[in-house]
Amino acid sequence: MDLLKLHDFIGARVFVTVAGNRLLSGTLVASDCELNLLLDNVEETTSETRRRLGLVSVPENTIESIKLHESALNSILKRKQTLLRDIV
Amino acid sequence: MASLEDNIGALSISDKLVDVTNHLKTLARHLQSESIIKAPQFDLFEGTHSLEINNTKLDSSLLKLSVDELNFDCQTSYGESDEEKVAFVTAIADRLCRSIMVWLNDYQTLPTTVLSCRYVEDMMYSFTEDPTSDLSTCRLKTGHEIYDQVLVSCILTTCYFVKVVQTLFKAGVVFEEEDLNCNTMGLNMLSTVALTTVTSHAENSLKLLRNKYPNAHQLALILQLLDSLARIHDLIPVDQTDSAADNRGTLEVLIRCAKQLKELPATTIKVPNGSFSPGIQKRLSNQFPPRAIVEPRGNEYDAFITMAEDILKVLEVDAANSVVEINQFAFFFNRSRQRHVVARALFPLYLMRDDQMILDKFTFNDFSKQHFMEFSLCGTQLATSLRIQPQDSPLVVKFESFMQEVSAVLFEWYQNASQNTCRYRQGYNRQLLLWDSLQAQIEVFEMELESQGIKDELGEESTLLPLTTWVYFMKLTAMMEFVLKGFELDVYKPWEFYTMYWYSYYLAQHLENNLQRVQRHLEQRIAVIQAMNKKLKKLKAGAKKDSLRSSYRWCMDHEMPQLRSNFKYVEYLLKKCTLSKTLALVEVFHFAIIKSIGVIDNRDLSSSRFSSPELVHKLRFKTFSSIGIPELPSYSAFQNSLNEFMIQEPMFTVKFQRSVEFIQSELAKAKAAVDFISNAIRQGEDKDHELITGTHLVKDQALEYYESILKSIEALKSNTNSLHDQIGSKSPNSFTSYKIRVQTAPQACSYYPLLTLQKK
Amino acid sequence: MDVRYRQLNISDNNELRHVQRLIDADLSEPYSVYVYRYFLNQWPELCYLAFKGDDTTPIGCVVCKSEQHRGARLRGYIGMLAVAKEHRKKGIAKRLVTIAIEHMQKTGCDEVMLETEVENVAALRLYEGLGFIRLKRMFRYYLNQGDAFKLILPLTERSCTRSTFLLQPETELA
Repeated sequence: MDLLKLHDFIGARVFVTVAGNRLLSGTLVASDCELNLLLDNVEETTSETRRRLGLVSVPENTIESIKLHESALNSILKRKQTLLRDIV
Repeated sequence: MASLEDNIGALSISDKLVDVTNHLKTLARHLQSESIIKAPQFDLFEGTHSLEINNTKLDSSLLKLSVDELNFDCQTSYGESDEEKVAFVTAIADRLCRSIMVWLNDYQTLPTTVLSCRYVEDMMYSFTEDPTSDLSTCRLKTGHEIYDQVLVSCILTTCYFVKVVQTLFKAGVVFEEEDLNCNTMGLNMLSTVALTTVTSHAENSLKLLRNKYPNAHQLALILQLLDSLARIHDLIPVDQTDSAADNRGTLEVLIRCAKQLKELPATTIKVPNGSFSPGIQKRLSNQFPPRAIVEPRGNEYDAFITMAEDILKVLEVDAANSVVEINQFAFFFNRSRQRHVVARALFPLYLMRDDQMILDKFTFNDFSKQHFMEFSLCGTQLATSLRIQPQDSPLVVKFESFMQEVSAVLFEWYQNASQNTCRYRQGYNRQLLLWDSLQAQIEVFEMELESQGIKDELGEESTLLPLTTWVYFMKLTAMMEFVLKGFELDVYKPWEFYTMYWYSYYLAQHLENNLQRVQRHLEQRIAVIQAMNKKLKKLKAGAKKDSLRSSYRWCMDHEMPQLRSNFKYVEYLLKKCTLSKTLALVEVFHFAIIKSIGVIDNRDLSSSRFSSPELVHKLRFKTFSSIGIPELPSYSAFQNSLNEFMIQEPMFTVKFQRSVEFIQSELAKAKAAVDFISNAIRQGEDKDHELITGTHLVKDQALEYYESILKSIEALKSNTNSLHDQIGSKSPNSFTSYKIRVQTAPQACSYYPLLTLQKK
Repeated sequence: MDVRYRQLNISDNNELRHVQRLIDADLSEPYSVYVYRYFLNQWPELCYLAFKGDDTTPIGCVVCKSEQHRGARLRGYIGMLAVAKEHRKKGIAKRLVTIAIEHMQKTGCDEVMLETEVENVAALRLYEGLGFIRLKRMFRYYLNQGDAFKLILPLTERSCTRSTFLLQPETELA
């Protein structure tokens, strides 16, 4: 995983838990240096509801965890490895 | 907590989630502060419209709901007795009904008004999940008919009306966020349900109320009102609709119910706690910032009456006898007061139908052609050629293709008539380019026709160019509206008044010349026809006489009535133009007088730091910078023109006195013109009057408009007197302790604010 | 009072938070952190801060950008302006705006644009005092329902020609 830069995660579907028992899943479209994330096509899941929110800014101080599907992470890794090999 | 885990589990299916939090944190820490990591094609500008977690202004999940709101149950029939249940349902229906007007009149959103009603949310959610047109899953099951039947009817009719407004809105005449918010939170507002399904549901409810709940008078009235709202659907001319008379009946019922409802004492029973709630904003998919729900203010039934009356007004355009009347209808109907948003959205759709017809009366092309005929084309060589040449001749083909272009611009003109006040001005800004390029093209076409001998002489070295003349008339009128509307919208600072009014005056002069040319043509043509009759009397019987007699008869039957009414209409336009010219001129004089005593300047030197008065002037005239004719005067021409109006020493007092007298005499003439026009409007279609105003469908609005012009004339007159008294025979250098203030007299025309002189 | 003015230092993360604090205290419009990122990260040279004496916490800021408008002219845009309540009426806002416009002028902007509420008399006085004029009025522009004026200050002749005509290729005479 050390191979991966922040850039490599752009476009990935991420799962972010934020304060107040909320899980957001969305496509990572941007991040700044403070890890304030900008997610698109966000779906919010709480104990009561599951709903779509569209484009959402997730400030770093609200983030409890950021997760990816193992398969998604693997494919990012594979892409990166191929890229690096091609450069060499 | 457990259920959140369950939900997460459901999301990830069998795929394991890997925590990358720390990895990402480390990566971020090594980023330079200025860097933003993003996909190259993603524009950060989009990000400025994002919601934000834990930001109270941007996170709808943070909305706090009360215990009552959380526990509210749509499937419970609130109230102990039947009587109490009726009272609750009445209160809910009343609030819901009022919410519709809060939505439309106070420019609120649906989730803060209609959709804040829990029953609406509940039923429309069911319907969206299962959109069957028989409404089988879209119902309440409290076990009591006053909820399950009557309240359901109220909800259905309300939602049907929302669908009607959505339909109007989708036609794209009014603007989202600006005129109307139509976001239904992704809920399907009965899209597949027929009007009859909803209205027969309401009829059953009304029957039930009559038979079993005779005391539920208010509830029955509300339901009847909602039912007539839903029926507004039939006014949108999508396909061949029922007769307009029936539609009018619907609106009359609406008005009658609203009038009765507004007289009823406020109900003492409140809606069940929690039945109206902002909760929908946090329960459903939502891409908008949270907003508090909006309580009705109490004037909602009046608002229903206004809406219905405004829609009725739109329908009156049906009765137009001529294109001039349609045109004047559009000019006046939204003028003195901005009409209800539903009426504004309806007007262009009602007038210009999807099947390319105008009111089921004209095709677009005929409608355009008729604009020319009722102005400058009647009785011209071109009109004759168009009549006698075959349909596939190059002339007719080219003419028709021009009519298509004219239709496109006219379409914008009519649509613009029902825009909100700000868009109305911007509409002309856009249109000017269209009129200008149309004028250029059509002039080339007409010059070509003239070279083929199709021309109408207007005396020495001048010809009519009937098509160009009309386009120019429309363009000049549009230019003047654009300039003058800026005063109403408070777009000009006092130092700009001179420039803007002098330019209006300049435009009015060009318009006057143009109208006089049409007038000359009409007089000539009428004279020619009359001369035919004299000639006939002198001719001896024979083939020559017969042929002349038949052309004379043709002209008398087909041309003369139109020529005469065109003459009277252009006469009206001339009077109206003179008014614009005079009022602008008086404003110019007022400015010049105040400048002569050093209290105002037409250049604002504060722009010198980064810009210059000249550059600022050019920016102000950007709209007109590309217009070929009338030529935009140069900056120095504007500056120099002011000198001609200024009063200089020596003999300041005498010259000032003369200016004042001139202004008063101009205003007296203007007043006479207004009286004459108003008189013509009052007499309506009376054939004997010297003017045709084409306003019989908008008589009150037209009279109101000219009344406001009259008020402006009086206000300008009294301001002239004030200036006269204040300045008197004092030296022009003695006004350093004065300043100007812009004032608008009550009920005066907003195009002519006053520059008044005040002590500092 | 001695007030210092300087460009924002985008390398210092605290500066964004200062701007955020000053603006949020003042505006009713909701802004996410990405509104600030949009302006500050892309046009840090067009963001200026005002400091009292040697303080390190700014008391005022102006946030701007400059971009091609319809491919026809370079348009400077004043996005946000705020001065802490206790330091108002001292000409700080005007100075901030002036510095920003000077920078825009130096870097070739053809005009400067902004929107402001019709009811915001103070803002109108400030900008009109610098030569801005009201080009148009916009119906219900703000969340609080108010109309807005679009103000423009022309810096070059390009500002005074409709963009439609600036885009037309120059016709060359053979």
